[in-house]
Amino acid sequence: MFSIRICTTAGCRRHAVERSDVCFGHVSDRTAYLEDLKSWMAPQRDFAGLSLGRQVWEGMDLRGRSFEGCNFMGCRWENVQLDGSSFRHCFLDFGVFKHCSFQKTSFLFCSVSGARMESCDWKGSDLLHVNFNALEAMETQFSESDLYFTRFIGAKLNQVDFIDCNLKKTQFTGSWLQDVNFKYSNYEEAEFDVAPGAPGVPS
Amino acid sequence: MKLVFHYSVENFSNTYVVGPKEGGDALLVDPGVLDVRLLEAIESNGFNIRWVLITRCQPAHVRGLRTLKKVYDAEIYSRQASVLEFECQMVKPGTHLQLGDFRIDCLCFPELSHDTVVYRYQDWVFCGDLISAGKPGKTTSAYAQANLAVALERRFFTWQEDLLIFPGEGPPTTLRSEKLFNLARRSAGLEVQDQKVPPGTPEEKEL
Repeated sequence: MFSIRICTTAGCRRHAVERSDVCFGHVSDRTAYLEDLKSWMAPQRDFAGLSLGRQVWEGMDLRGRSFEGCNFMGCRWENVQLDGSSFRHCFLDFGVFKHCSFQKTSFLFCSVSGARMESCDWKGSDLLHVNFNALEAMETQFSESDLYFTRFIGAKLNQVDFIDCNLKKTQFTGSWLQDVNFKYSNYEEAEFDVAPGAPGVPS
Repeated sequence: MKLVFHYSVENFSNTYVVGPKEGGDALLVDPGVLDVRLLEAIESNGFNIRWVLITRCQPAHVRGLRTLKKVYDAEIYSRQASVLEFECQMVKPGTHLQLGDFRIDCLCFPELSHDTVVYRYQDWVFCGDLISAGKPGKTTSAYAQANLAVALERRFFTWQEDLLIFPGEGPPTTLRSEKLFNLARRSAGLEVQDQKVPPGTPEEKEL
């Protein structure tokens, strides 16, 4: 599991990033830092305990990688390929995900709360014990996924598909659902208590 | 330090093991079960369970204690003098335990139950039933629930936001997320939705 190191810049409370004593915002040359990081990561498959909060992942190919106990809080992910990757005990809270592919990924005991997601594809994934609370998702696919014990408490889901999913113990308490498709899923075993005025629960 | 997470399908509860990366004396939080998978995880990491911390003396948190005690000679820490047939070191509110290299801060929440203890080790909080991601702990009445909400506000949400929360049930979370999104705060009108993107995120100003 990553350990939280605070940025050494006076007055800054953000998390220091990997291979540096300062946060990403205070890295002197961010482009060079990211290039250096990418070339360091490229040949590796398994990562443990990385602290890479508030970074920008753009157009990267991270397919089949394995992450354990890593900190990706506040990161921006754009056009990132993560198909077949594995995340264990990772924290991706407050991230922004756009046009990312997470097909057949395995997320176990992770936190992705407060994230924003647009046009992402999680098709065929195992998302077990994942915290998606307060997620704001648009045009996103969770179809054919196992979402056992995963939480979407207080989430805003717009045009999101949960077709043919395992929703046992999945919680949508206080969530706002618009054009959400639960076809062929066991939504009877999920927990719904939608927010007042929310468009609706599965029919 | 390494954290091992284990989920019990019998109790729907979480067990955590914390120990050195290279193996050695480790502590275990809430032995809801000790099955082959957990035992394998402990042994493959080279851990020796020296200490057991119990967040609440309910079956879902202690059911595996008998088996555990047959395998490991561990000291048990809880809010009660004994759990099942085992003597415990009683945890006092607001104190800390020095367990080898582990310094554990202990906080009690009688507003949830008389035997609730929250353990904090560095940036990690093992909060048992006090909260689970997005929800407060369950009490027996609306009055008790309101009391718990006040206690959370005064003694839990005042901690630094960087803490990682490992509940006794459900997925992990962070204190920042809970301050913003936990239903206990929402029902009291205390959440701050428009601060959802915390200051300093790339979206806000850095890019």
